[in-house]
Amino acid sequence: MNMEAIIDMVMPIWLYVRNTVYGWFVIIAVILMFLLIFKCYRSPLSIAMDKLRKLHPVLVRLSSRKSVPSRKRIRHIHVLLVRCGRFVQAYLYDHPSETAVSDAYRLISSADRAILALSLDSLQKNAQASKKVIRNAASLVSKAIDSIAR
Amino acid sequence: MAADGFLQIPYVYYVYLCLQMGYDCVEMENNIEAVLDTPLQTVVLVVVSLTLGLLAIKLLLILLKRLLLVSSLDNAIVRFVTTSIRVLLWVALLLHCMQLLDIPLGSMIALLSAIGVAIGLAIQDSIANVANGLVMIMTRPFKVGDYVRIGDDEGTIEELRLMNTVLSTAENKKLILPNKTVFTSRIVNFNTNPIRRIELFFSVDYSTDLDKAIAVTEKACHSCQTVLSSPSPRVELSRAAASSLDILVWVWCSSAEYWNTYFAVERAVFDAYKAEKIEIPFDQVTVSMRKDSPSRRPRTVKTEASK
Repeated sequence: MNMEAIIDMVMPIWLYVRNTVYGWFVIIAVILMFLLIFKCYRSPLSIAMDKLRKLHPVLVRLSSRKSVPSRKRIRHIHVLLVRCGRFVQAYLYDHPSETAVSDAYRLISSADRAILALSLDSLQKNAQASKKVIRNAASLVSKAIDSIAR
Repeated sequence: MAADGFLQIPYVYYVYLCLQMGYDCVEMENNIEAVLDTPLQTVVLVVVSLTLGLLAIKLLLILLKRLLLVSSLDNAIVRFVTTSIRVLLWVALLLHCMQLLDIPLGSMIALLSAIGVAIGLAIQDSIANVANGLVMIMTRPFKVGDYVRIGDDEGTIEELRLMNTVLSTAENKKLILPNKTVFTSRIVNFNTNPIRRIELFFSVDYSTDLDKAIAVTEKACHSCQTVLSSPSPRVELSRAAASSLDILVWVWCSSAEYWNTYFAVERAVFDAYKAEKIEIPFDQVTVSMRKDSPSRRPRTVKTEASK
């Protein structure tokens, strides 16, 4: 069977399916564009790791300050920790046997509860106690980073 | 349609199924014949549509999952939504390919509906678990990490799945409870409120100066770092028991520090009582003899000497 015969057989089929193939390619290209825009090529675990790495020095800095962080700041940190937790949990759903990541998720949840406790009136008035709580939260975040890195 | 050789058995079963379902076998036969006589380009079109369609569905679901992750929807609901959308898109793609092959969709959809009803009846308990799981995820009676009591079972919530809830008990055992059971049981969440009250009882001897005992107990409570000053600890005489005066202590602490505070207060009060020489009594019984009780006949024991 020579090339001409093969082309003679394939060409009608290609002409028949051409428009459908172009249509599907356009749809796939649009989806790929949105995937690039929303950085879906990154694993949720690496996104969580980056966010935790950025958060850790912030917590260390807050623990060395004399004043208690404002409720708005506490809320912002809480939202960040919740988002990190969700990314880690999403990874765990697909990889349930990874105990290190599971430990990291528990540590992030504990850090979140510690940060939320800062909004209590008693801790808002007590700068020393709140410093201890922030230091504890920073140490939990650091342990979570180490767990994920393992 | 001539069914030869090994095809005869499934063909006979197919005819039996059609008769049971009440469908016209001849019409179905004609449809299958039409499929088998399809020109090559239509088959290629269907294969190309299926392949590219599945690829597009996979990419779309990756995008959808990432968008839903950033939203405030619970992860379990995200998984449920993405799985449902995946199934719907697969079915839509399949129907599109069947349309390309000129297979009439009406009878196929009716058959799928009948099979769906049969499957639904068979797995109604599982569906109840999923429905209850969805309601629990939306109403959030508890979240991952909370310490809860569900019926007679206690533990920390490890995972909230659509079909069941996973608890980790104090003995480090994994408890998997169906959501239907969880939803219909009494749920006690120990972590909902950020602070909790600890109730303790201390017993002192009746000869103790009560005001001093209460003052010492209050001071010991305040000395614990994890005891909150607001609401402040409360120390009162609870009751005058048979052997002791029972002092009730209420202290408040953050939920995360409950047990640390419990043991710290017990120890601090014990040490304080010891330092202030406040006696913690044992159980005692006081016996009083009545003078006007009738005397009993004296009992004599005959010994060898008295005989």
